[in-house]
Amino acid sequence: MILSALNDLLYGFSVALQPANLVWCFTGVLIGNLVGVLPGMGVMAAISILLPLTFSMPPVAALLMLSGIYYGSQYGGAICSILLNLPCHPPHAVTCLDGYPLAKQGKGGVALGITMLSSFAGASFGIIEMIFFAPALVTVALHFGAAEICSLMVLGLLVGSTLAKGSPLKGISMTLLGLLLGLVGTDINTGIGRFTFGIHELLDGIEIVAVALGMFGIAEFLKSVNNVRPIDTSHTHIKLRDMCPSRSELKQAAMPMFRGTIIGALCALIPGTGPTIASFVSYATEKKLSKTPERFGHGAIEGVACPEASTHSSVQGDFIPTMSLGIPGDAVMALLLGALIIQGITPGPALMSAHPDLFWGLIASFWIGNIMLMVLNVPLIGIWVKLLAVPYRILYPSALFFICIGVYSSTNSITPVILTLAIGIFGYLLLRLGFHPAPILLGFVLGPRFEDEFRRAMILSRGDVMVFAEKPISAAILCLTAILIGYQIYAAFRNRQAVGGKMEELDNSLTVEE
Amino acid sequence: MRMLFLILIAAMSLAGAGALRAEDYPAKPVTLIVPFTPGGPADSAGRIIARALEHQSGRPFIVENIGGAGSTIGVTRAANATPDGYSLLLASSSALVMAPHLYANLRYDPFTSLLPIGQITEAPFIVLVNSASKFRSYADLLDYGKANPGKMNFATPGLGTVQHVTVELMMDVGGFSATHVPFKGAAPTVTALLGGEVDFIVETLNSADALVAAGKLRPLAMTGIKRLTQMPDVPTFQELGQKDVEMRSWFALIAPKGVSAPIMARLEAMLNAALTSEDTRKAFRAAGFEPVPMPPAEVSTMIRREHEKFGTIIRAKNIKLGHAPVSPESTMLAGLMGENSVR
Repeated sequence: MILSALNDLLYGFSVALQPANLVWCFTGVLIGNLVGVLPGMGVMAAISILLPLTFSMPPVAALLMLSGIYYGSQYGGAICSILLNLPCHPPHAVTCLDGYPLAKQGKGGVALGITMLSSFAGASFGIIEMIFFAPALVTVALHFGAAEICSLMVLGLLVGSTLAKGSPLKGISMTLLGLLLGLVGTDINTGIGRFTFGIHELLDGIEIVAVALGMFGIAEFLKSVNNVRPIDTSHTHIKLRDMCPSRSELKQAAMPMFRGTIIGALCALIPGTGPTIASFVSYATEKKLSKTPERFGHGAIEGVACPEASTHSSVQGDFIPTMSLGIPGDAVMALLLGALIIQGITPGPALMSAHPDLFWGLIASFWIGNIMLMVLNVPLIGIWVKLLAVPYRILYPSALFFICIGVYSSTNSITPVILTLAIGIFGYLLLRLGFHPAPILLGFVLGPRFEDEFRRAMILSRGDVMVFAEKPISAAILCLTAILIGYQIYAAFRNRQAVGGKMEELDNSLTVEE
Repeated sequence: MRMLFLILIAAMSLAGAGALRAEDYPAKPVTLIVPFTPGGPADSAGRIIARALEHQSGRPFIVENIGGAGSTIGVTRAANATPDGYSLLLASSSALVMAPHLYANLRYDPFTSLLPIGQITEAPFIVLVNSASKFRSYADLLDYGKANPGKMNFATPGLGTVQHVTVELMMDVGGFSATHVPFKGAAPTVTALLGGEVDFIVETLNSADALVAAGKLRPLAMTGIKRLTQMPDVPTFQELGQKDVEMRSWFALIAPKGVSAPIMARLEAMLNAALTSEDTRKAFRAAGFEPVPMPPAEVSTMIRREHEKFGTIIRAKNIKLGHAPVSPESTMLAGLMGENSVR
């Protein structure tokens, strides 16, 4: 099986390396990269603008280019998150947490270097996953029904609760606020709009872009506008050497990168769990596993490496259910399939055998595209970092302008723009009060998914809660959750004892001294 | 991007051209509003017909996706557009037939704010089960459903979708019952069927074809009048003796009310020419659609007929969508309590 896959892959390279396809692939990743850098400009908008162009292209070229836009934008998306705290795409919101502090410390170049490395590692793994395991993984993925995904969301929320820094109470209240924001929109079981205030556009809920950009980008912008200070430009003259992470930084990033990759690959398989959830979960896992969790949020290199690796591995893995079943995993995938359908190619299980040039050519082009992106971005890091040297009064207003255009393009309507600004102002108030926005996004991403799946599981089991324990996958996930909680309590208990012991020692030493 | 730029220049230079005569139509790019997010069948159909109309008129037809709220947001936008023939709409039964029954406060009326130009495509729904299912025929499913009321599960893309109402109609006519499991969108319902989580779904040919051909799903019956050429072995409900189970998913080209008669006539001619051209027919078929032209008057009657038929089912099942009912005098607070006030 492995041999035949390698054979097919070689064939794929022969398709993807044809000069015309190579050029289209490059065009795609270049456009994607640029779109990714522009705050708020979504992949969806970019692909749908370019879709008519592809009608007159051969199907392979069209697919290579459009996919290139998708994964290319993920590379670009990290740049603004790290340098400006603007998560142009929701998955990169997590990268802001440590990337922006790193940039403020003048290590933006290093952070970007690590990002590129992690992205490439994650993407490569995702591609390997697609080549060798696609059929097997699809079978596994179909076993993830409502109960299983619901249990997984519980685990995600638990692991993610460590995202907060500072007061745990504030962290929990922010997660709950995120859950509440996630409630906005039509309740799928009763059809009633919740918290919509008679606004039609809210019937589908709040756009995640609005929450991510508002809470991070605009809130941060409002916060810093109060204390405009000349941004330290001494670090913007970056030589290639400065971008290269040092050996110790690489060592720090290696394991998180690897774990992030695995988490991303797993998330890609579970229907509807895209890169956003993957990046949150991997960040939280890393923080949990770290011996020095207090460094997270203040510029930990691991905090940049793991979410980026998992985002990219998940982005590539997303193609697995889409290409092997013809069922789109998310909106972008639906758009790519739409492009194929207009070309007269019916996506489905037979795609691999009926159009091997398309399937294997696409996979081979992933690799080529990712290498192109590396080559494209590494020399550009120096230029990106120079962005920070642009005077504040020009840089931020123009970023704000792009945010508005980008958010508008997501639905072609003004409501999300107003929402983004309103959420931004609210986020600013929260920042001033010492609440951190990351848990809001976590609650917002996982909450609605949890609710939908929980209620669906309840309908399917006719209201029997035991279904979560009866299904093996779900039971295993819940067991893991219980173990984690148990460990947490044990650790807290042991800490208290240790602290208590130390106090005693201290008391003793004090008495001795007396 | 370059094209967009050119279009922009063209639009600006023509904006000042003054009053446009019908024989010059279209003198500038035409916007076709597709009231769904990009990707998915409506978007595909919209882009194919836009391209065909572009060939007919020699002017760009630009697809603008305005999704949301069961396609009512995009339709509202189209209904309120200047009726000069430069803003058109690709509509389906979601907005024109179902929404008026489902939403309390629509800002358009399917009969008075919009005018059909013609139908574009139509497709029957196919009853699908997993190929591992014990149901070999629709009779099997029916018998099981009658013997075990409410025990089967069916998935739909959401409450009040055509798929949902189709299954309700099937259950009414067949005299059986099953449990509704609503999802968000059509794709996850197919996944749920493949994973064996639900027992059956109804979908159109374009989402089912490849999976049926691959032997993953089994078609049991279809809601058209005639059998499908692509699936000649699948019986119609007519043949099964349940004549009332007749349902179609369709797309039509619609204009806001007030477009002048000559422009409407020109559009109708362009649409007909497009739908009879071999290239366009081939493009539609390859994407899993059947192009079926229908003159505007007939489309109006068809919408009215479906409006009544679906209305009966929706009222009987008490399906509602939209905001929680709020009395005009109670404002924000009532909105906050909205969810409770409904229950």
